[in-house]
Amino acid sequence: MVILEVENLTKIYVVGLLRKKEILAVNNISFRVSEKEFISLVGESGSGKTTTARMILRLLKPTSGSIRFQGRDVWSLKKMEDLKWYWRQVHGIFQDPFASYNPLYRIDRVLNQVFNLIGDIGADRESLIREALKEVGLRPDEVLGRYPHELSGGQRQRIMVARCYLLKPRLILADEPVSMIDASTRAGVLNLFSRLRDEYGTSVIFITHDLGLAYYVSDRIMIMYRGEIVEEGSPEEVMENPQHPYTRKLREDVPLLYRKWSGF
Amino acid sequence: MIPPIVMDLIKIKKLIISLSIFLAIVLAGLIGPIVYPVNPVVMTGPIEQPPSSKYPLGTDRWGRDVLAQLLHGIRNSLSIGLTAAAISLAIGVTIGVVSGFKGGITENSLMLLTDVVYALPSILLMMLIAAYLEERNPFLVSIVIGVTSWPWVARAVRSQILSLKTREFIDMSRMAGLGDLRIMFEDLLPNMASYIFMAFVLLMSGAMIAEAGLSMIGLGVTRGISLGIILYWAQLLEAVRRALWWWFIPPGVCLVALATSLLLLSTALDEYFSPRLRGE
Ligand SMILES: Nc1ncnc2c1ncn2[C@@H]1O[C@H](COP(=O)(O)OP(=O)(O)OP(=O)(O)O)[C@@H](O)[C@H]1O
Ligand SMILES: [Mg+2]
Repeated sequence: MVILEVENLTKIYVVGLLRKKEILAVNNISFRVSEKEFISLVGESGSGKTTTARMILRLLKPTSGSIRFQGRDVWSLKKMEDLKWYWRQVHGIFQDPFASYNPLYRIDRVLNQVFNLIGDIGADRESLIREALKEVGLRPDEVLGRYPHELSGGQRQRIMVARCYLLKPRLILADEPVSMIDASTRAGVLNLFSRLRDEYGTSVIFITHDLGLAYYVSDRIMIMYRGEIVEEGSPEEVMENPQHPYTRKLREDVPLLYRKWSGF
Repeated sequence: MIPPIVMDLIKIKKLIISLSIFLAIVLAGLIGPIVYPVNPVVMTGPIEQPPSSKYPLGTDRWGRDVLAQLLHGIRNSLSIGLTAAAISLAIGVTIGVVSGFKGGITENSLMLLTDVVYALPSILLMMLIAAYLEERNPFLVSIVIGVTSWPWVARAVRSQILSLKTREFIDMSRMAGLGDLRIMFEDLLPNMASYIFMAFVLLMSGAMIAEAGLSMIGLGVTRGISLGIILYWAQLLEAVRRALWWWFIPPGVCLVALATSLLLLSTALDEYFSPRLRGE
């Protein structure tokens, strides 16, 4: 079942005060996301991945095109209760785990904020939070009550993943959510996304530079290049029979390690 | 227990010096009139007397005690400075936050208003008011200074908001369903608290100078005394040419000391806070 439909989505940034300059960040992209689907959005820096995610998260207004979630046009949601409904269903993790925290508050805040969306569920919040932190491999006593600058980048990223785990949305847009997490913990955190998918039917749009990692975790890979989706297919298709020259170039950069394991 | 920030702050020399000067003058304005209970606006002695044991800072043309005038003048100048700064800050921060946060037409129209007020000097407004109102009390003068001196605050606050707004933590709060108002008060304003405090200090310094400026050209308070008013009369009656130094030097020094100590205070605070604001 399709839950998200993106059609002809375009974003043009206008920069500069006197001499206006237009940057075509996302150029007329269309795709669909099904329930329980794990999609990777792969592309070089500046290809428009974050811009796409921010538009879907209803944080950045598209220049044109439409985004529909469960049949509803996302950008026509206006009332706070509708917006809360949407963010309850569709949530994000941002690329920069430093900027994701207001430096003045303890990290508990981003976790507690989840209950503003869920409402009162009767359960003990504190124990839910602790459980979520344990799921991402953190010791609750070590991180709760601390300020963002007292934690490492990887710890901060995992707290963001814990926030999504607490919320259990239908769709997660994760913008390089594990870039600062060491390889051994990374597998566990990525596994958490899979578990959300299996247990709650969550779909994931996973944004990464790393085609090798995408190959491993996803059901489908979309390659983004200069604002356009230039290639789309199952990991095998993309890896074994790339159509676009950029994909071929990307594949060459995938470390040998991955290739050996996957046998090509 | 003393919070660590206070311990850090008292180590800054510039801050301690400026704060001591400022507080010393404030104290003089607050308790001076009580310790030295001489009426500043009635004749209490012979005219234009140099300082003596009876009149520590001499008297003016009408035989009024200059020390008494000075102490009351400090008090009124400070209260005009405080009130005007509070008014400017409230307007400037509100306009800056709203325009930076909302964007679009709201931002454009508020910035247009800011530019208009920026171009309109307080002297002009005061001249208009003076034409209608024979009597101008300190509160009226504060309002005039307050409603004309906020544009730079609005601009500075707006640009701060514009840069804060792009930080992801704002989006995290937004995605948690926090409304505009809560984001302003929970995420934006607290991150600008030190900045806003510095703006207040600068506004206050500017307002006291502005009060003196208005008074010097005869557009100041008509009731009561202020540092500017003492200077106004001293100037009008050529105290400088006639070397009646006790009449114009004390209020001049007090005014300059008040204004510069506040300026110094704000640069000291800036030096302390800026590296921290940029993120350790
Ligand atoms: N707020 C903005 N204003 C103007 N241009 C922007 C803005 N944000 C992004 N861009 C531009 O849009 C293009 C796409 O940026 P985007 O952040 O979506 O790339 P990305 O694929 O996420 O890159 P990265 O992998 O480095 O995160 C880039 O050329 C970028 O410079
Ligand atoms: Mg990005």
